[in-house]
Amino acid sequence: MADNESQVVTDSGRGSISDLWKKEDYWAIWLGFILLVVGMILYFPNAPEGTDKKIAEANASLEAESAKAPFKTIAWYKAVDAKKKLKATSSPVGKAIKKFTSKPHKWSSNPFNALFMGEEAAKAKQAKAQTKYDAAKKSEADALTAAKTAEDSAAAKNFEDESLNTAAAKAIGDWRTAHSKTSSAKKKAGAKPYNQLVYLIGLMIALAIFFGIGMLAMGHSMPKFMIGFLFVFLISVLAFAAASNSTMKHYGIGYAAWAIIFGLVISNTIGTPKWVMPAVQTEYYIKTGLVLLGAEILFGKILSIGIPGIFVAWVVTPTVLITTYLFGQKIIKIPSKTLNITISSDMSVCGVSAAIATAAACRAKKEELTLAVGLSLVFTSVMMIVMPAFIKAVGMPHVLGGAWMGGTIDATGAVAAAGAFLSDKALYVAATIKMIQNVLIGVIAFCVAVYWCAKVDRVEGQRVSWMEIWYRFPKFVIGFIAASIIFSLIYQSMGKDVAYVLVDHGAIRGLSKIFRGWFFCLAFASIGLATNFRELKEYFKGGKPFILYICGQTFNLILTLTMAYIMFYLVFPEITAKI
Amino acid sequence: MLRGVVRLLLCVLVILLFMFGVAPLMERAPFIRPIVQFIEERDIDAGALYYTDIEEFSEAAIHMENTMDYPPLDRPE
Repeated sequence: MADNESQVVTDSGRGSISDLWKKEDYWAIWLGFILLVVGMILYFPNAPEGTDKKIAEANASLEAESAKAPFKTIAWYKAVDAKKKLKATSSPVGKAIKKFTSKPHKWSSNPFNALFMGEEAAKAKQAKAQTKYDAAKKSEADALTAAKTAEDSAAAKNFEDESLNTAAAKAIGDWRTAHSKTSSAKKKAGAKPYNQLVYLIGLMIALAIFFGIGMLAMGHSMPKFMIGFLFVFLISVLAFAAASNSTMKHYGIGYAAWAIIFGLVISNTIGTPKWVMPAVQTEYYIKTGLVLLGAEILFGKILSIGIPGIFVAWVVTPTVLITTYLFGQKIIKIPSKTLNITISSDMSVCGVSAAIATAAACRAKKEELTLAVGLSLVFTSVMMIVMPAFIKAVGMPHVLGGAWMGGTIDATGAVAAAGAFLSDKALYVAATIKMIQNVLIGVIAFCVAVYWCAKVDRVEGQRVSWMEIWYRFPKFVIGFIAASIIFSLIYQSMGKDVAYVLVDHGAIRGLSKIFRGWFFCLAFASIGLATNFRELKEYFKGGKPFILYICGQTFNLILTLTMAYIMFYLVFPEITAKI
Repeated sequence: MLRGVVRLLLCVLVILLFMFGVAPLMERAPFIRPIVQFIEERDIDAGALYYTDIEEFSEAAIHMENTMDYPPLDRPE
């Protein structure tokens, strides 16, 4: 990642006003913010009709139900469901953007289905899924009837009979499980024909122009960049297509891994063609993606599960990160500090996304990021399978198990899979803990960038002035943090419910998240295309990164479990009871 | 160049073998099968990078936020 010295604002020792249009850090900020502003313009005026009224009705119902029963009633869940449906992404503009920017679709045996599905194939898929959907609907209806009967029985005793309350809560829980299955089955039964190829060509041209303008301003040849971009984009499409294979989805092998693998295969066999190299701009793509990611770091989310969540995610995680880093430096003696911090952050925070942010903040080498992503991938797949099985086997309470998995399994997607596999309750806790941990990325990237400028990158014994730190500071981090602060403030000012509609399911999921995914994929494809396998091997010498990961993760597992138990069962049992 | 092309084809073959041979075969193992079936049934993307990439997180967040804002009267159990 740090190959492109001329393109990095840091280390110059001085700055000039022309940096604003000549350096990629600033271009990452401008391009990222253009997309964020477009997202706000497109989605903020497009709330579904009657949003305020529907939210008010749902909240009134929630308030009444909350004061009525000692468990979450059917009406309570229905009110939450009503709020959940309100999304700005459901507007015509949201649907159009989704169609135009969509990644290759899920497929199982025919790879062409990633890009194309005809009318007949869609109908056959629909028919196959319809049977399951009908069965799921029936199960849900039966579960709802049983839940209503149980709730009525509890209500008849004025919710004072403990055993009836417990029975009602369990019956309602069963109904919610059936409800989740129906929702998934409904999605599959709604299969429609598609031809993504046309849209992908359009998207490729749009992105080539989007990044090409910046390249031109930075003094590069725009036509050469655009020609090379065609190849990098093609690798990215292939990576998304491979990640969309159903088996790969089961293992959690996502586009990042595939983009690196495909790039590596090309660069280490036939060699990356010279005409592609002008578009192999890892830092440019990654920094622009990170500015967009900043908007997804919403600080209001950290209170989603109350104080226990903050302790599990925001106390344990930095403790594990710092301890693992120090362990790597002092005990294992990892030769590269940037490799050490990238692996430590990847392992303790949230896998690939944390590795990207940290690696960019400390200017780690592309091989180091590749290694961190590879380690995370292997351990995530194993932990996703082993942890829920272990929790079930030892009979661990699902709130504790959920908090444990949310705090320790690296990859965000794997946390959802492992949590949901255990139970809905475990999913809610695991996902919320992981989400709070995700928010930590912003703070960690900022602290790592400052620490590297002030401490690591200075000459021994040298005192670094604030101006010097500013000159060296990776400027895109400012855009990353600014996006996070601005979107967090907007989120708070709107209030949670409206922000869910316009920010969460509008500007973020409807635009920034989509492009951030594309940009990261382009970055990983570029890493693969510019990496020599022999160089990569050097970083794994002595298996030190592996030892660091194992030791750090072991410490993480012990500390997270201990903290989760103390917080959810000893200090705040009343919060656990609510979940 | 020819050596490079042969190497490329070999790599492609290994990837295809993994994707269509080894990985599906491993899924049949008794300790992997249940979670694989579950992921397929619920259509979860286990490879998602960030919480905004996955619908389950949105569901969990809205559930937990409303649980904190509108909690039930007492312990449900």
